[in-house]
Amino acid sequence: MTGKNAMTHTFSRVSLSLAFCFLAACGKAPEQQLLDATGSEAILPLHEKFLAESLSLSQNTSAFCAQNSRSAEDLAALRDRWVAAMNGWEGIQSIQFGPVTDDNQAWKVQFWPDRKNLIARKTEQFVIGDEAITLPALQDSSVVIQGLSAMEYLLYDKPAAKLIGPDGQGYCDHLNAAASNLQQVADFLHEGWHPSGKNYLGTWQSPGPDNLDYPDENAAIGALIETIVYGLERIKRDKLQRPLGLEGGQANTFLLEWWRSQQSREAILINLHSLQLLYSAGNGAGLNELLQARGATELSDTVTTQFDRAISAIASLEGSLEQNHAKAANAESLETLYATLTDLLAAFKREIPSTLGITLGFNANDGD
Amino acid sequence: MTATEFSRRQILGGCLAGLALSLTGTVAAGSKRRIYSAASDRNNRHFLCCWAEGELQFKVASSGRGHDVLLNVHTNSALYFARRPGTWLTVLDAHSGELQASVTSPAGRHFYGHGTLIQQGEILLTSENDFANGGQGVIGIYDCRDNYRRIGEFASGGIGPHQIATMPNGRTLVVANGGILTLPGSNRDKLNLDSMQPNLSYIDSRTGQLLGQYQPPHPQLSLRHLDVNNAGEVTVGAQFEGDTAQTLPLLFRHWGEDTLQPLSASDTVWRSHNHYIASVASAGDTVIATSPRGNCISRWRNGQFEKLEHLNDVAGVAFDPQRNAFVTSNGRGQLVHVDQQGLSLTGRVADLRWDNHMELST
Repeated sequence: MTGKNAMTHTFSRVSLSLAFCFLAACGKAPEQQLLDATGSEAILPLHEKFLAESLSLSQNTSAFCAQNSRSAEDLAALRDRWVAAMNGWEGIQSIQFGPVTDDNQAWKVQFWPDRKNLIARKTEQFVIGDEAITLPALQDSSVVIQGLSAMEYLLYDKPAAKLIGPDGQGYCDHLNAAASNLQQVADFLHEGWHPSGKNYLGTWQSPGPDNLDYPDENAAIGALIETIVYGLERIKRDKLQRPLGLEGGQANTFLLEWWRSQQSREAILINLHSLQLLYSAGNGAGLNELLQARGATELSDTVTTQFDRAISAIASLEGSLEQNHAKAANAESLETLYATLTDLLAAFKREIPSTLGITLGFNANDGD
Repeated sequence: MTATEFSRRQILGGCLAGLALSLTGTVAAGSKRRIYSAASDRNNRHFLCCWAEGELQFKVASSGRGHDVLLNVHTNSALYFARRPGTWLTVLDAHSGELQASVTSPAGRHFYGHGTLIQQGEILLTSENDFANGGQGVIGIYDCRDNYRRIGEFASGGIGPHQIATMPNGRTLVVANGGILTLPGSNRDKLNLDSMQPNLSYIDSRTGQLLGQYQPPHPQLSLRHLDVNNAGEVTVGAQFEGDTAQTLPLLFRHWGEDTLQPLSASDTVWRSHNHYIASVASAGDTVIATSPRGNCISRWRNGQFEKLEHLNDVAGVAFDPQRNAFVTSNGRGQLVHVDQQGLSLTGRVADLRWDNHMELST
């Protein structure tokens, strides 16, 4: 590219972005830009992905169970669809405000940790019970057997062999009903957020005195920070510390999130990518840019670096967490991950709220 | 007479329905409805507040975070209690906010943030921690007529007495002993989670005699907040300190039965409260419970779950008999009505975060 061309190119890029800026968002306050960008670049796409993967899982499960005979290859292909749907769920698992709070939707998707092996016991009871195995029957039953966790048991534990044998119809019916139920939950969440549906996004993006949920911008941004704190705590405490005994005590890998399918490492990786997306709005006007706008560029950059470090640490773990968490080769990565999560939590619990003048959960943190 | 009948009669003592409400529900402060609550601002400064008709009536600075408020109709007073492990109790004129009295707990004791009145508002009872002697719960007795002079105490029936209330007979005290040992030097750490013995105790306030004691079904269900309706039925809310993978009932009612009676709801409803009840208010057959950790308000009728409403960081709740509705408050400065139609915003103080509990006068 010649100098003139390069200058013209640069000029037109600047003009274009200025024009876009003028048309789209630049007239808005940085707080409003954050709500707009985080909604369109993170919350909606993450829910769309979960919906698409749940729909695919439901359709594939239906086709799988409709076959007269099912092969090991069919089962492997269906497991892949389950992993994709589970990954879609892990992308939104941290988002703890909005439609997910209606009737405790998260619980319908995932029952974990399962200290008493309720998933296996209740699934077996449901399958051998007298009642026909249908979607309504499943939805009237315990949440333990309704979602991804029960499907994991069916696809990866003892019932897996039966699914591809002559006596597997009951298990397949359960699998089919659970996949349909999962799709309904995904649909409910997506519709709840989407502007063409119940538009909780609009509620979140329009703070004001008459908005019961978000009386001001700080409340709306506070909900985002709280959800990131929730996601980070979940990873640190429930996905690492307790199952791996990282702060004393014995490791118990049955407490890992997806121990049957050995997908627990992958789930953490997806969580972190999703949390980083919620922080940066995919390089849009996310929390990172709001911090910069408030003069906290160093904090903004530090948090970005910490996310990168945590993601790099979990990605560099060799093999599954279930099999390889105690291997010496993984010790450094786990240590780095754990320490970085501690740093991230300090940033989101204290430094970021303090910089932005936001209070997180005044009464929720009271403990009296 | 069965043991249960005896227990019920002794506890309710003839059931002078309405007495408790008349003691605490009306203050001679004009015709406006007033809401009293402690609050904090964004700079973590603490206040004792009164709100009415869209604006603050007074906002008095306090040395620390407050917890519950009690109204004394006979002295036109609002009694603001320090949050655990605070040692102050500030008495303000309920109308003007002027200081009437400053009370300090005795050496070796701190308040738990709650109290109740007996003997037509002449005597104040408070829940206290005898931390100088290992943390046994006591009920302190103060003479409101004599500048809140401490005149005695009796055992609360357990460790960690939290909210207390006077039964409709005006004499029997009901105490939620949370069971959790905390000591002021231990930074609010919970020191006995593996050996907790929470209970609901009924005590004769004249003699200190324990009349009855009832345990929750799980020893880590810390009973903390309660309310009593005019008929003498107690509803008590719990905070679960055990394995959060478990889902347990968090509200119980008691009206002379041999055991605490769990309110009836699905696991999904209980799960929505996120193991934590902050406040309980009852009126007639209706109970409202708040959960800031679940960001929800639950409504119950005759022991059955009716409806769950979403409200962020909600904690305070009181019944407004004139509007036949409950009012709730939250950490976002909002005051929100709860009735059959759902939630409706009634006011907000933008720079305040309402603390755990509120009291209301009409």
